[in-house]
Amino acid sequence: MNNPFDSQELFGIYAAEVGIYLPRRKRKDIELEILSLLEDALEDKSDTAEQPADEKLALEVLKEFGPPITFASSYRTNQVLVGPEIFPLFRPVLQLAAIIYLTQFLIGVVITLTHSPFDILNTVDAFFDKGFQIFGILVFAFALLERTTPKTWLYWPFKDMENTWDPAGLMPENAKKRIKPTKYWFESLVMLGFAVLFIVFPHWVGFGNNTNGVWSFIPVLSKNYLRFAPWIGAFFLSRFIFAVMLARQGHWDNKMHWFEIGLTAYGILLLIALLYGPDIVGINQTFLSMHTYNPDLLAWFKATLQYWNTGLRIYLLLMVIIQSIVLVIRTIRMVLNRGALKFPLPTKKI
Amino acid sequence: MTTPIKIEDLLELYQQELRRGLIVLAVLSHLDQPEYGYSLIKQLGGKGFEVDQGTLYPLLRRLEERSLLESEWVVEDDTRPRKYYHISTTGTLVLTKLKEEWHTLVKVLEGVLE
Repeated sequence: MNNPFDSQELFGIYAAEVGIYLPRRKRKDIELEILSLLEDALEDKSDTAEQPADEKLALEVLKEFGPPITFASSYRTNQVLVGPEIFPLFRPVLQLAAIIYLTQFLIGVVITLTHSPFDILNTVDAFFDKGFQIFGILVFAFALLERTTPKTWLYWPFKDMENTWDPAGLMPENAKKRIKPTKYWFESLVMLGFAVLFIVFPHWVGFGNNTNGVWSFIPVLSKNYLRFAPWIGAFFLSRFIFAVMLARQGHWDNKMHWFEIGLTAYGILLLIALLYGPDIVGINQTFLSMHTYNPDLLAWFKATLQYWNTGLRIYLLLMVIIQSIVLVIRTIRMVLNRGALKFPLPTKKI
Repeated sequence: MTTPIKIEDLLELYQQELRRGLIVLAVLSHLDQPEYGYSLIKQLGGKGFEVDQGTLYPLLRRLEERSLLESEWVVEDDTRPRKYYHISTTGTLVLTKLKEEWHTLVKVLEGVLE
């Protein structure tokens, strides 16, 4: 005999998914209310249709409520600079900027300590100065974006989600196939950022530091890099499309597993090409002319160039090995029809 | 060259705008007795005023944040918690003024539309 259908568990998952996009202080109360409203809607549907409140009706109710991200956006208020609708985009961008900025600062500290240790206070001072500037610019940019960009542009990844979204992905038995959408929205942003960086602004890949109060930047990609740029760009753009598709549908299926396998294989080919190709770290005069650079720092980079390229090749080799193992495991799982065990979300009852 | 806009789309847009302005009035006028979200949707729908769920539930919260409504959680049948909303004293004052404004507007517009 089948177990009786537990609508509360399914609705609890939906409410929790909505909660991801809500401000923390209101989240719990809104989740509880959504849960209660869903139960009311199901009861009403069941009475009207003179059918038991089963899984089919529960999924119909969820379909009417719409994708969690869309439903959550209706709770938006304009009283904050960066509203809850755009906040899920703002947060990962801020995190990413912080990681990149901190990494660059740490590299800068190492370089300053080895070259001009007395400048360390300047470097730290510039870190806070520029940090606040970056934070301010990001907040301002997002506030402006939210208020000026037509929704059809800003939210094109969410276009038509009401029709394509399938609430069956929330069923408790699909817990192992479910993904954490924010993770893939974040990945899509990172991949788009990388695609833009490596295709449009490759001269901004490098390291910088602050010497005597003057900001200096050394781009590290050589002329050889340009031969690989379209292929690297295509890889990041494909990963971007993959992440958007996965975040939109909210769960894994065979199509997405094969898409990921294809991307992994492409990535491995790219890694091998980079591994056996010419050095991509080097001094590119065209890129160099686009920045203010410190001649001492450039001389140091020239002297250590060989180590950078060797280090990169070791990294590429390790990645080829790891990714090949991942590819084999993923393919075997798919061929044996087991589906990959990815990011299972615990079912949450509220 | 600009893309031609369909009459149906324009009509839908303006109808939505017109209704959006009236939802607050409709909601406040139905909350002299405590109601939970779903029952309110049904009541309004029963009177021909269809409101989308995604519009009503956040609106109830916004009205509560602006002190026009008060709410409390009530557990029914020992298992079923529901959030009941009812109009506050401030809400009642605002509703009275809005009703007056509405009646005046209707009269004025009837004159304009003649």
